[in-house]
Amino acid sequence: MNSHSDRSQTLPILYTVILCTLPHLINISVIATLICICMWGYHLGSLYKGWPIPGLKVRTVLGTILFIMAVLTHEGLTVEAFVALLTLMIALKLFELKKLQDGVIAVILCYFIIVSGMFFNDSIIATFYILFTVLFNTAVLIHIQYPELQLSPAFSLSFQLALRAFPFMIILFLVFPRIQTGFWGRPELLQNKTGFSDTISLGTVASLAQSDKVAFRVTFTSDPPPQDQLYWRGIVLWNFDGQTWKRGNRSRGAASQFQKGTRKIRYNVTLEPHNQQWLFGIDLPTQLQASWSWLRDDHSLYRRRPVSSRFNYTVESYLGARSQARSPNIDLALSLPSTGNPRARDLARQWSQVAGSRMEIVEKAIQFFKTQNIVYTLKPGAIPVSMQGDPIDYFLFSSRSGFCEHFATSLAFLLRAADVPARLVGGYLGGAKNPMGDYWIIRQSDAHAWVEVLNDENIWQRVDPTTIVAPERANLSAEQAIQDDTQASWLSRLGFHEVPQWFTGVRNMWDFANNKWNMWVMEYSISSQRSLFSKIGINISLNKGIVQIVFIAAVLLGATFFLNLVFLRPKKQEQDKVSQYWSTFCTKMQRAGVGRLPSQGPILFLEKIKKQRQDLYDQAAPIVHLYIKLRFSGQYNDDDLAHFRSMTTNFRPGTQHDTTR
Amino acid sequence: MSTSVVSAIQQYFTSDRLHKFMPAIRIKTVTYRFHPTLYGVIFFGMLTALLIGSINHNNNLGYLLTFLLSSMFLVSIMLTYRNLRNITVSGGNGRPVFAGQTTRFNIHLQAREGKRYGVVAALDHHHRQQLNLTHNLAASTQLALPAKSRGILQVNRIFLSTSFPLGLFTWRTEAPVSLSCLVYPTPIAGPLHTETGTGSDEDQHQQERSKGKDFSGLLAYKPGDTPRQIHWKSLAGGKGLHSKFFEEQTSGSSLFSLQDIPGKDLEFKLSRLCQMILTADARGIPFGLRLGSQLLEPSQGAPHTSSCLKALSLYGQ
Repeated sequence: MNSHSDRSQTLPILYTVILCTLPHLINISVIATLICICMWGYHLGSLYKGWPIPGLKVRTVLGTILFIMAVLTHEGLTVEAFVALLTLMIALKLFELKKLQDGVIAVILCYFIIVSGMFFNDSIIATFYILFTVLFNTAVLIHIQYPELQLSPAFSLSFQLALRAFPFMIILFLVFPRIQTGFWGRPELLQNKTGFSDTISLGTVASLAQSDKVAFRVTFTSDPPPQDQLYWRGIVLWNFDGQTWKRGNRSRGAASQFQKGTRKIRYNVTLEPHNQQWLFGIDLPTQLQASWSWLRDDHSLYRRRPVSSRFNYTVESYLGARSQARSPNIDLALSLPSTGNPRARDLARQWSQVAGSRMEIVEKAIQFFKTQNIVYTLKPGAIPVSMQGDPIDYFLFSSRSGFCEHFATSLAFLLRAADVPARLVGGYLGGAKNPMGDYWIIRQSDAHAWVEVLNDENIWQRVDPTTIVAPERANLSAEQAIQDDTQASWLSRLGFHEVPQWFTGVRNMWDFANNKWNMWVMEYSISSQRSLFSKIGINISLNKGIVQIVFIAAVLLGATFFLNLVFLRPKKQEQDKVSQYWSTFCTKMQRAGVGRLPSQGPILFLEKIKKQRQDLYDQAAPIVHLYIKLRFSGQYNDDDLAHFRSMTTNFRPGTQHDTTR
Repeated sequence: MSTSVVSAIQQYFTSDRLHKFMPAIRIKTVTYRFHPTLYGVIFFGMLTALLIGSINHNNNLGYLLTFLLSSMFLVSIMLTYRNLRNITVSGGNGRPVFAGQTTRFNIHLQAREGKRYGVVAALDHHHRQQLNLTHNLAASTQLALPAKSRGILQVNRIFLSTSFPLGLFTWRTEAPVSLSCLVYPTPIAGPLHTETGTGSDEDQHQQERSKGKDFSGLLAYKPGDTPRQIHWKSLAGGKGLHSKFFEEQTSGSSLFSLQDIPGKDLEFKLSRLCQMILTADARGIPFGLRLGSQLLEPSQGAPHTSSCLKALSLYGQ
């Protein structure tokens, strides 16, 4: 196992395994990453230092342990667990490279690792890296089977292969029928869990808002609404158990009636996968165009299955519209746990005794928030253990600092305690327009929570306590609205106290490129196919259209195949010069009357020349002998070839004795 | 257990059975066939799994990569074909061997254009040589072929195949050659029978031989020496196996004749004759050979031995 030739055979396999696994190391758990790196290191040690290769028993036990470890550290059978398992098993397979067959199978398995990158990142950079690893892996596949071909010519061969394959790939990609919903359930992807979960408790939104990840992108087909109206409604929460707000079981009826608002807007949303069922729309969404999705009775947008890959939908919203309440929901919007937060309950009871209507109580609550000097911050600090049962009391009367969910949950609690029906809404506020592409980016840092109150006319009305305390939040992102020192970001640590202009520009440009990439490539769907094919006058909703497309695709594939065949011809300089000159010589001999039969070897041919044209023998003999040397001895140098060339071109069988050597 | 299954599957992929199912393609009077290798089947299985995964997740990056790999798979068929076409084969006749031995032919492969890697040349399916036509676009090798029966072993075609570059597909073709090799009969040991006029009685021969030859010494035992020749005394004395060596008293020579060999099977008789010739040649005894009407006058030396053996191998053919 330690010989040099073996090392030159196994090292490329190790290289390709490392290159293919590298982008996954951030996706799998730290333990799996460390074990992986250790196994690679040990493999290197065994190659260079002769460390013993673990035997079959050790590998079997190790494999079982790694399997259990992969499942345990990735919350069950998630995509991450599968990838970790694949990665670890291939790292283990490196110790089994006894025969060529093991190596080839390991390299073929590497394609699996490469393609599983599709779950994690499909940005431009990631795609190009993946393409590079495909090329490299193919080069290794060639090199280990044909070691005479060094790795770099093998790489250029695999590049040539990919170049030839490219047109086929494009045609297949464009015409392959897309199915919006998969065959069966998809394993969960942990990474996609960034975003709103189905519960809100104190601190959840604040931690979410520290992520810079894109939540969704929006293109408006009508005039965009003003910035402070960009309330992206997502999840509506009804149940409060003293700690956490949950969705609760509400009637699954269609969207309720609503009071007309001021202006209708239409827009298209591209939602990044978040593994939840709800979609986001500007307050108040009234119409939804998306597959397998509908408007619930609380005007939240739901999808039948969790959004596990990028999802595109169109919404129509009515700015300022308000939905009417349904009677069974009113009781739900008043329910509170029987105990907890006594001071807040007392305060609410005082308000309800004084006030005459629901909206008066709401007004009192707003006044309360305005006068309490509560600080708006991303890092409100942990609730002490003694106050765990009364988190709202702690926030309102002790810490007095919190993020939007602190404001919203405590307002909803106060209102419910004062007999005003209220519900909590989670979503996003604002977003930034990308000047490059005329679309809006909404990031996780725009996460927000607010309250909807049932007013005296039994109509749900939005109340946002955060903008009461920090009015600038309505027009700025949370990060910009919060001005405290604890918010020293990595940029300010680098010396930029404000985000520099060029950075924003670069970020916008990069997002623009990725957005186009997403729009044209990564979100290519059945509707894109429909519109693409309608441009050439084919309607694929008809059977006839499908037949036409299949026919066109077949013709295109055939043409590409033919072109590929045409370009199979190798370069001119790679032609065999020796036989080229030899055939010139033979043609000249033929003209002189001595034809060579195809089965005749050079020596027989020379004998024939001697018999038939004795006069040419002296000239022909050195040519034939040099030909035999060049052809059959295996010793070959350029001088001989040049000599052979000049002899064959100067050979004149017609005239006698004019070339003497 | 699993390795034997794998090797059985692998054998299937290198055997002729699969090859028969695959379509033959004729390009410019040369017939080409192709079939996937075991790796090709594994790769295809992987592509299927990737396609199902991409459909299930409706993931366009997955589609893109699956189609890229499938297209590379497809294109590799063409590149593999390119690696095999326009190769001319020439070769030299093999040196004579005895039936049952393996003959070797010198084979020279010449590509018309482009370097070739991993071109497998074979005369049968058990002896193959992998060659790289990189140096001067040519390569030479020796190909083995078992010689089963006496006569002329004629080779009219050479099997060429290649899986380069990806090893997922194998293309095969046959190149016409015209190679031959003389196959002598298998030597079978037996007593020396020399022709003496008309007599053909075994005992008479035996007596004659004892009379006609003088014991002249011992030689190391050679395969083919009869038990009668073995000098048992020296073996018993712990001096190893030796044969008695009879110097011919007469200056005349022996004549081996086919009709003097007992037995009915022609091949067996020829084999016996073959061994006699070899023994005589080794001992430097001049000998002649009579095969039916054909007579080779008694003589000595390598060319004479060769022509006698050749006569044996061609007898009746």
